[in-house]
Amino acid sequence: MSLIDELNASASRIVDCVRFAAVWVGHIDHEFSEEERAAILMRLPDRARGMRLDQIVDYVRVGMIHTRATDLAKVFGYIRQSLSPESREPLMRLVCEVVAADGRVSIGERHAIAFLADLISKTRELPAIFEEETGLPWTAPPDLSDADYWDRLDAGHRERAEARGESASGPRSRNSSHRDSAGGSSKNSGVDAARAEALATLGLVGTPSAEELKAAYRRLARVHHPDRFQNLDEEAVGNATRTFQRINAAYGLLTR
Amino acid sequence: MRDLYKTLQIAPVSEVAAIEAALRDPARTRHPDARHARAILLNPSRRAQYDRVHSSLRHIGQLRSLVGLQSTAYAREHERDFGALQFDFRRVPIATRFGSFIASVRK
Repeated sequence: MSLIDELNASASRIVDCVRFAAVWVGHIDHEFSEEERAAILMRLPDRARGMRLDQIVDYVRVGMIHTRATDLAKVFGYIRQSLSPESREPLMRLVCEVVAADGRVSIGERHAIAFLADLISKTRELPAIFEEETGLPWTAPPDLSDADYWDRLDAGHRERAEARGESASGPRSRNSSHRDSAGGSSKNSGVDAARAEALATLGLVGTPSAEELKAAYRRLARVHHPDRFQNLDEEAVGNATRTFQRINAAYGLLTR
Repeated sequence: MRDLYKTLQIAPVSEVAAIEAALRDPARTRHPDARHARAILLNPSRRAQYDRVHSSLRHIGQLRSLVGLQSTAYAREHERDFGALQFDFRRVPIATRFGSFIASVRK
């Protein structure tokens, strides 16, 4: 059965199309994470008469790998025509929440959201909605095809590394970051590795401030709280519990 | 974002040797974007990040043209090389360009 047949047979077609759009946005950089999946299931859980989320994920994955965009385009065309005006803002909020669920918004995800906003004529409202849902400013994605952008980026890294090198020699060397100078002892690098992993768990890079840490922790904890998965099966609750514990441990380590 | 692979006239999954060969070809490096291609495609970490966004944008550009959305302000600014239907005003014959204007004057 093709995707279009499946959607035509579905009793809740427009809801399935909205979930489809959300999965597509999450999948745009080929990394559909558990957090993004949980964010969709929280807002729009599986229903008895619609398509299951796993089915939708499979269709999106196949459609993107083989770049057979015609079926995907039909779904987006249907959303554009049939989504009621009052459901358009909730769709934008849903996709913003999905892309931020794993704590970071990639360049591809920004492009994908902008496409959806154009599709349902919410271009002008997008920055405000994005900032409300993710807590991040809406900035246009950087131009990766610009050699000057990369040179500026590298210069910035060098500068920051030098600044850190100077501060590491001071009395606050305990707080120095994981990208340390070559003279670090093995015990120190083990601590740094744990710290780097904790940062990655919270979706942060470098040396975030206390507010950034707290915001990232709150966002992830909200998504992964096991209580939210009580109406799903035991496996989902188990996964959420483990993830939640990992987030707590990472936050504890970084704020110690 | 520029499509650097289109600039060099090679496939996006080309090996490094093919990129180097294209960059040695004077006919292709005359393009003003060849400088960017050299700085990005020959640097593995830059190329890896560029390729991810490149494939996403190709996909989005394809959808934009299939849905009929290719001419929004956002697409013009950020996806300029990625719409499947590129409309080049300079290629349109002069008579067609000013046809409606001439007709309105004649009325």
